Amino acid sequence: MTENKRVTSGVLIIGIFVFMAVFAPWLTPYKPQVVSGSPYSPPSFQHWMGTDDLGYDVMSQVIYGARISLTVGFTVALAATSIGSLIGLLSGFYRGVVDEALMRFTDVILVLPSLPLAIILAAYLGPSVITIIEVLTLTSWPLVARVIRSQTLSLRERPFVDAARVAGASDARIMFKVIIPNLLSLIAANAVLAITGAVVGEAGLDFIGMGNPSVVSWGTMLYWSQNLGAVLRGAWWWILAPGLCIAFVGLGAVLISIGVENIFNPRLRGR
Amino acid sequence: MNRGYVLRRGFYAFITFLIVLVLNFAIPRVMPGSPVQYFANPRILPSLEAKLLTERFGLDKPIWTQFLLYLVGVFHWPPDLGVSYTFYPAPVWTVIMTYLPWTLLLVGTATVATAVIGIVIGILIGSKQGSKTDTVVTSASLFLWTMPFFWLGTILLWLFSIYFHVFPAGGAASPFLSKMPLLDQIGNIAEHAFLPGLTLTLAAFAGYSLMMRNTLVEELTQDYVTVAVAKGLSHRAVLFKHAARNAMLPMITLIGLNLGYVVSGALLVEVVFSYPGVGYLTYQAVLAHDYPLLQGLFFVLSMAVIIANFFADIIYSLVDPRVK
Amino acid sequence: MPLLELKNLSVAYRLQKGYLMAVDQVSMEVNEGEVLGIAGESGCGKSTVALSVLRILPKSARVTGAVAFGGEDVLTMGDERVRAYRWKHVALVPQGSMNAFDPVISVGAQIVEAIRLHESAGKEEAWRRARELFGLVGIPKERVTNYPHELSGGMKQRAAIAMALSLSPKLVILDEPTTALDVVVQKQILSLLARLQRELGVSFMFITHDLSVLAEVATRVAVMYAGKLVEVGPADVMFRSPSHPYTQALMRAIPNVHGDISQVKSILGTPPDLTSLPKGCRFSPRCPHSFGRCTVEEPRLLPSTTGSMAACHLVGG
Repeated sequence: MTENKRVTSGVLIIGIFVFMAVFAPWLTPYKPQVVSGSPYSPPSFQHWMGTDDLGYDVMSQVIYGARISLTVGFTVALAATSIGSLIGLLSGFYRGVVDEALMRFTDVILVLPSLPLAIILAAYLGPSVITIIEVLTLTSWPLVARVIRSQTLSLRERPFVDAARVAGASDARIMFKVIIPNLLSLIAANAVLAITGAVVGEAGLDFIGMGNPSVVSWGTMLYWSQNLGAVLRGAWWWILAPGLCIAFVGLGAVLISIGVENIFNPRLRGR
Repeated sequence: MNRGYVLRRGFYAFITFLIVLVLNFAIPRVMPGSPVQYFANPRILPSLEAKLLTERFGLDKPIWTQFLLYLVGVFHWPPDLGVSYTFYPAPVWTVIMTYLPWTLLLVGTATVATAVIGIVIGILIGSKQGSKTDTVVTSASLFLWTMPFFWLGTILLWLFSIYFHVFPAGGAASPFLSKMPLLDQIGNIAEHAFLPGLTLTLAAFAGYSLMMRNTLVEELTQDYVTVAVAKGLSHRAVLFKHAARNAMLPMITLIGLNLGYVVSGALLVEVVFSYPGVGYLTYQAVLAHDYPLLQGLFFVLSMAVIIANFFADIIYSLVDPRVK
Repeated sequence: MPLLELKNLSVAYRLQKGYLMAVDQVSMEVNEGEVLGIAGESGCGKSTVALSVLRILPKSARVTGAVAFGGEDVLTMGDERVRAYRWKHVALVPQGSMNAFDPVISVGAQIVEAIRLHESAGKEEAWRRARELFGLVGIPKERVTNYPHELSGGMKQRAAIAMALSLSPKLVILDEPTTALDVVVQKQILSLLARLQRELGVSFMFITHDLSVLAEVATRVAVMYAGKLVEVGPADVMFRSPSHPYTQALMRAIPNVHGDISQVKSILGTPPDLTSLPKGCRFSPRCPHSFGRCTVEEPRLLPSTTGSMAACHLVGG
């Protein structure tokens, strides 16, 4: 696959889900939380993806669920990438003590098992979408910080940075006007990749009961299907779609991210 | 082994440990509401329990005294991490220790399997960079990688336990385990661990195989590889004795770093398979709002990951002569 | 019979669209005990020639013509045979040989690996020889157990030469062996190479972009340009009275012995893009003597009046 094709298919996949989220009310055959058939009906002409334990339409829930998953995914990706980039930039630019302190802290968060940390934070803050966004942001910035730091370290040695310094530019100006523009592709690749982590993370927290179970999302669908034993009842239709949606959003983001990165590091190209 | 390096990594591990200690202490105290409210078991007579807890943790004393009392508790043996409400009156430490071995078994096996499979596949596609195999395997592993662990587990559970009845649908062993001969015991445990282990492996190996592929592709362009071929070594020997060997070095660090991720995945997978490890315990603690138990779990799991990472660092210093 | 003979060797790399001719119909030979220098700018195909002699080109390369070593065709050897031939008969000191060694294996062990791959030497015997080779190239013998990163740049270069000599091959290919080194170390390595060549009677194929280093070691010099051999002849002829305008330009680009910078004249322009070559002589767009015929007809390699062979319409026919 060429890099452009990769990016295009990634954008296409994410685009479809964004479309679903935005136009959910027009795309769904039923309201997501209204009884529209008998409980546990397998897929049929009336219910393409069957119904759940209460007789709600699974397909309508999947389409509405895109709203929460994508909101959380995009918000967390944006926040985590901003924090991570800033910390990585400061760390790589100032080096020395600043770098040592920031990177020690980054490594601690990076190494710690993120889910247990997220769980205790969420447990105290109470289940809500806001909690999930905060908690996921807190655990997902370190990876970005690491990547941006190492790139900043090499960028600061380039002639154009010296030139800016000789011309009397302030540190802030060098960082934001000279270095950041050269990091944009890398930051973009990482931001997109962070979507994958956030969408999967959101589902995981929902799944273990840290989200708001009365809100329709792919994670809460899996939470209810798990708690009500959908597997044991053989109601595979209730489980299949939300998981596949999560995986596809993740795949779309990964494709874009790898594509963007490979365009800038041609050695890794497939062909 | 390089002594200075090991000491430095040991020091870093210790710093991480300190930060975990502080986090674990601070979280319940900076959250809205009083810590008593979180630590007090709602099932016990509230006023008496609150009084006992206040005394035990010095909650009416200045923050430094509280921290000191907390440290004394943690560095006690067995560590005093409070009392669980769900398993009252069992101490948190004891509860976690009865569940931890199952998780160690699961995460340990999955880590080894993931690393081996990831490296083998990485070599396979990395040495054929740009081929059809590369494209297909890379895309397939990427897709597996983006699947949520617990969902993949649910699907495997439905397929192999409910639909085909090949594997048991939950638990870590049959109820009559202790009455079986030793070999059957092992077989029974393996049978129960297989699906959760497979789930973790399938969902995580791609991280390694992609990293291995990319590192190997870089290594194969190095001069020493050209020299190895020019020396008359076979394709296999060049790949395994030189290129793959070098490409494997960063994997050791990655395996250490990934442990936190695998542990997180294991927690959810255990819930799916009702596997009685710390993940299942976490789930119960969440449902029961058992704060002392949750804090204890975070503490113990973090310790485990810090120690494992330190070992990964030591192994790295043994195999790479360049570490300083 | 020459030791190594290349006949109409062409190497094309497959690209996304079409092919790139890296080496085009090149014929040359290396005789026993001689040092053939191959010079040219980067991308002229000189390294590709080296890789074809050992048959270690990347898979995307298509090779035609013949490479004969001691009369045996290298290009048609079976897998087993070609592996036995590599290093035993022709060894390599690679380009940028700072990285010639696997970083996680001791230098000695890598020399031992080469010895034991081709000869039935025991471990101890092989290590003894590795130590001797270190002595031969002037590195303290006890450093044989060092890892590559523990050796200085000059020492690594010497160790790479030691490894190339480990099986007493007839021919050693030196690909830019002095490029990454500072001037003092460069001098030392060149005199080491000259001494080894004299003492061991080994042949060298010495590849460089810097003609000045050839002045001290080469017996014959070949000059390549954009995949073509443009002139080849005895070293003294090539240095004293080059025939091809490109060789003349290269010679002028060498700073003279007194280091008079004003003498350095670089050649105007850049080598052509190998995917869209100019018609006729490939050097014609940069050639000060270019005339009508040069842009139409490609010149053939013909004897010049000075005793070299040159591909230029101004020389010979």
